[in-house]
Amino acid sequence: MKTQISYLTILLVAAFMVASVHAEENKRPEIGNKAPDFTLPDASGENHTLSDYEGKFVVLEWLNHECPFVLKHYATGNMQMLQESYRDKGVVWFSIISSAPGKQGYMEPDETRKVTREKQAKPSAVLLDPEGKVGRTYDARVTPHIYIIDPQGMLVYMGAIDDRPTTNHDDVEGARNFVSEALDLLLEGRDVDASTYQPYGCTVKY
Amino acid sequence: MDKKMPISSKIAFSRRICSNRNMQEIPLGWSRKKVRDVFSTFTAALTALVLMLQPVHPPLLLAGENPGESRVAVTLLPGVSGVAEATSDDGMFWVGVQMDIREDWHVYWRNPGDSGLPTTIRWDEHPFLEPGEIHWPAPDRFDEDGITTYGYSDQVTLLVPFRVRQKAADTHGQSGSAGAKPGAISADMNWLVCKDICIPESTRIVLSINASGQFEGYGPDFAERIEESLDRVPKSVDDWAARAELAEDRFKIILTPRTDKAVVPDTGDIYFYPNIQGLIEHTAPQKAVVRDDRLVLVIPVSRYLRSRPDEITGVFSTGESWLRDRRVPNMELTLSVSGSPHDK
Repeated sequence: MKTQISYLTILLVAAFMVASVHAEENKRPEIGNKAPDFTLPDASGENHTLSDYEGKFVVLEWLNHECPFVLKHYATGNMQMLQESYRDKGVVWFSIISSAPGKQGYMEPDETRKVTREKQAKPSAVLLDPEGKVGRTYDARVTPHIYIIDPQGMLVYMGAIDDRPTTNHDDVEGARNFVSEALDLLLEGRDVDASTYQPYGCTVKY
Repeated sequence: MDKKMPISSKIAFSRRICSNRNMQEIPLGWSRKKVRDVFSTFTAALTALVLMLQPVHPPLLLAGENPGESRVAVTLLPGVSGVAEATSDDGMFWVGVQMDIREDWHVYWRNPGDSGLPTTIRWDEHPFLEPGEIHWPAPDRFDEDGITTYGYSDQVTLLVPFRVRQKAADTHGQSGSAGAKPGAISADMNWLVCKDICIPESTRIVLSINASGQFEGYGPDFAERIEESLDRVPKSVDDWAARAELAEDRFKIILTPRTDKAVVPDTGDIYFYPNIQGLIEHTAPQKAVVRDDRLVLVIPVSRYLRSRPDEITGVFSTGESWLRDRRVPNMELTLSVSGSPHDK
């Protein structure tokens, strides 16, 4: 009898765990809702928890340095410029790599540090998500895929970096950049005009 | 890299990385697993370390922009022998832009789906031959890491209509008169080709016209090959009417037969491809059911749609036919959209 009960308990606990994992998976981020919390290590091994940054605007940038759409923004210095200028204004900027080991864009921590240095990238941190858990929670589909979270932890923008879905480096200049547009408005205390825009890029290599 | 390196040098630097990757050619017909295995071995041998369990170094799988290694070969197929033949018809002719795509790779349709990029052709101005928009054969669906894209593998022939501006052609004395400028129609063509990774490629396409106004390289079977490709281009069909209702993050598309030529195909393989991104959830399965004699298709709305569109144009695809009297597997229709304004 006692054994039976403990089996039952295990079963119930297991069923509950499956159910809660399932619920977690279904919870896609929506504009105006709380952005899902997460903890990820950066390339130096230090953990970052999203909710620790409440009170600040946070940008999440899905990253794969070998994707030609990403290369367009790094080779022209556009991404570094955005990272640096908004960090100067108090914005926290996380680049997140969700490529699985062995897939394009995956990097070990030391290589991540090296490439970040070489590219002169200026994010607050490059976060490593090799299991793709955070990427899938946010339904990040492409690189670069951008999310902006406000100081209350609400999602206020998700989608493309700009309105030129190309790999042509010449297209950076003159593009309508949704990230700077949104951040400029938000930092003035105003609402974002376009809170979503169809993202473009390479698929995230989960 | 030097911290103070200017942007132009950074571009040069990144291009150099790309060209180094050119050395890694992937032979035709290899499975992905085999490629991976070979590279693993190669990496291990190279480093002379016991690192067989280490993941493949990703840059080894990348290749660059060297045209000699293009994953797509482009051939131009003029549908007529020359300017004279086009003029004697109705002043209009097709140029097929045939793309032969390496095994396991694909290029994209006008709406690439969740990622990717449509092929573009930027024609140079010609004194009397005027290009129109690309006519796209119906696409296939690709699953890329759990998201859905639309495009083509193996081979596709994009079709570009050309119009002969008669007066201008006469002034240029194309009908074999001495001293006529032969010229050419030419364009810059760009595409993105993807497998598990994506490579932007480009080429210069040129169709030369000789002194007597003939297209160089014209083949007698070109007209037939263009016909074959035109068969794959979705048809505008008056025999079906379509509209959509937007409610609760779903489009309900209702197709109604307008004539007795319209026939409801097997509902199992019906799929709606919108001509532009950002309307539907491309990954979602599309369920078609027959209600009375109408066909109802329910498709989840894209989370990137901000407001209700007035209308949507796209392609209804089936393995069978939408018409009784001729085979039309792909029809293009414009749907008016009703329902509450969609605000997220």
